[in-house]
Amino acid sequence: MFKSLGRLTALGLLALLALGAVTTASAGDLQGEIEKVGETYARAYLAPFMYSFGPNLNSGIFHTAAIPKSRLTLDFGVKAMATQLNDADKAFQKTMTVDDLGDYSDDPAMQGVPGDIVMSGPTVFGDEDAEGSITGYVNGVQVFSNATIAGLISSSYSPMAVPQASLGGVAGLRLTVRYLPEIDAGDVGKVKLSGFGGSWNANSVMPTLPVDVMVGYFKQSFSVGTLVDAEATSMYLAASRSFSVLTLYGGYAKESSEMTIAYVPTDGSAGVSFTVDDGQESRITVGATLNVLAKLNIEMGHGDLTTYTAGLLFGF
Amino acid sequence: MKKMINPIAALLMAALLALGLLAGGCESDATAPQDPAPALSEEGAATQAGLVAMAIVQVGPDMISFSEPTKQVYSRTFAGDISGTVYLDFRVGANGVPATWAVGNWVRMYTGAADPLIVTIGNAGGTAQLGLDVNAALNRVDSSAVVGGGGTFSTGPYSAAFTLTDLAIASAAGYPTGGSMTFTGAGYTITVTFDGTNIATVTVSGLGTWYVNLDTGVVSQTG
Repeated sequence: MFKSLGRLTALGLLALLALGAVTTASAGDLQGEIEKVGETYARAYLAPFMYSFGPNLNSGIFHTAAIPKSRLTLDFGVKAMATQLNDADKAFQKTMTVDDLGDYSDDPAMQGVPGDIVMSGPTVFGDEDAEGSITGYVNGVQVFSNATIAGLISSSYSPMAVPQASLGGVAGLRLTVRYLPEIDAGDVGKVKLSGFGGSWNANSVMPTLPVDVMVGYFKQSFSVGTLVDAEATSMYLAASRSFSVLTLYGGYAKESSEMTIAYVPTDGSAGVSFTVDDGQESRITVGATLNVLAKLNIEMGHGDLTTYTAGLLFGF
Repeated sequence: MKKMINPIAALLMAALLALGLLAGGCESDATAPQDPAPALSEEGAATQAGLVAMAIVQVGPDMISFSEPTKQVYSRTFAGDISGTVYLDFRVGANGVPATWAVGNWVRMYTGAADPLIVTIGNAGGTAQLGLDVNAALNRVDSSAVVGGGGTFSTGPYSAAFTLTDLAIASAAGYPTGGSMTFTGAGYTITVTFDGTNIATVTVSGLGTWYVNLDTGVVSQTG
C-alpha cells in the first residue's frame, strides 16, 4: 500500500517538474519576444493567449458531482487543458489613425506626420517563421515598414496543465486545490500557481434526486515573475450519473478571469502594463470519467471558446 | 445511484462520448483583432494614382530610348527609387513578328508575373509595387511613342489597376505631352491627364481635382 502511494507520489512529482520546465522555457521565450514591441502590438499578438488562459484555468475543476456524505475521498493528479483557437487567431491586423507617425518609426521625416498605422502578423500561436510588421501610411501610400516578431508556437490550441488534488466526503463537501511550488524561471522570475475551492453535493439534503447534483466555487491565481499575473474564478452547478466504472457529467458555470502583462520594452521606452478582463463569462460542460485503477477524465467546455480537458487522477 | 453495466459497454460509451466531443466541438470565437485596412480617402486615392503617374513617366521613355541592337529578347533593370526589371518585346506592327530593337516599330514593356517594379518611398522601408503590361507604337522618325495597356498597383493592403490611353511620350522630353491614365481602386475611379509639363491633373471621380508633380509624385490641391 505504502509502496504504491510512493510510486504515485513520484509520478505526480515528475508531472510537476515537466510542467514547471515547460512553463519556465515558454515564459522566457514569450518575454524575449514581446519586449521587442509596444503595448498595442503586444495586446493583439497575445490576444489568443490572454483570452484562452482564463477558460483553460477554469476547466477540469470537477469530474463528478458525486460527493459522499460521510466517506472520505482523495484524489490527485494532473489536468491538461487545451482551448481550441479560431483559425483567424493565427494572425491579427490592428489599424489606427495617429497624429504622429514618428511614434512608430525611427525615420526623422515621420516626426509630426499624421497617418495610419497597420500592425499585422502572426499571433503568439501563429507562424513561427513569419515576422509581423508595423507599417505606416500617409494618404494610402506605405511610407515605412518595420519588421516585428514571429509567432512563438504554431498551434491551433492554447495548452495548459495543472496539478490538482481533492479531498471530500464530509457532509457532502469536497475541497479542491491546485498548487505548483514556486519555480525559479531565471530572468523571468518565479512561476507560481495556486487555486482552491469547494463543492457541495445537494443529494445530502435531497436524496431523491435522480442524479448527483452539486454547486461549487473555485478561485485561482497564476504568475510568472512580473511578466504575467492572472486570476480566474468559477461558480458552477453540475450534475452527474455513474454507470459502473463510467461517470457522465455536465454543468453550467459563471466564470471570470483577468490577466495582466507587464514588461519593459527593449527600445528603452516606458514600461508597459495592460490587463485583459473581458473574457469568457459562462460555459456549459460535458464530460466523462472512467474509473479503472486510476480516474481517466475527458471534458469539453463551451462558452465563447471551446476547451478540451483530460485528467489523470489517482486516489480513492 | 449506481447501476451495473458491462465494463466494455462503459468503455464504448466513453469512447463514443470522446469522439462526439472532439468531432462535434463548437468553434471558438476569434479573439485577435482583425481590423480592415484604413479607409482610403479621395486624397489617398489621388496620391496613389499620382505615384503611378510619376513611375510611368520615369520608366516609359525606355520603350523609345532602349538600345541593344543585336538581340531580340531585351530586359532593363532599374535601380534607385524605382527598382526592378522590365522586359521589352519589340515587334513589327502591333503584336506582329518579333523584331530587334532597331527594326521594331511596336513594343510591349512588361514586368514578370510575380516580380513587379518596386517604388521606394522615403527612407524607412516604404514601398509600392507596380506591375506593368504596356505597349506602344513607336515613331522612329521623331523618337516618340503612343502608349496603351496598363498594370497593377499595390502598397500594403491597398491595390488598384490602371490603364493608359494614348499616352504620348518622347525620349527627349521628360513628360507626356498628352493622353491619360485611368486608375481604379478602393471604389474610386481617377483620371490623370498629361499636358507636357511636370504637373498632371488628377480628377477623382467627380469628387475633386488634384495635381501631381511628376518629378516627386507629390499630390496637392494646387497646380
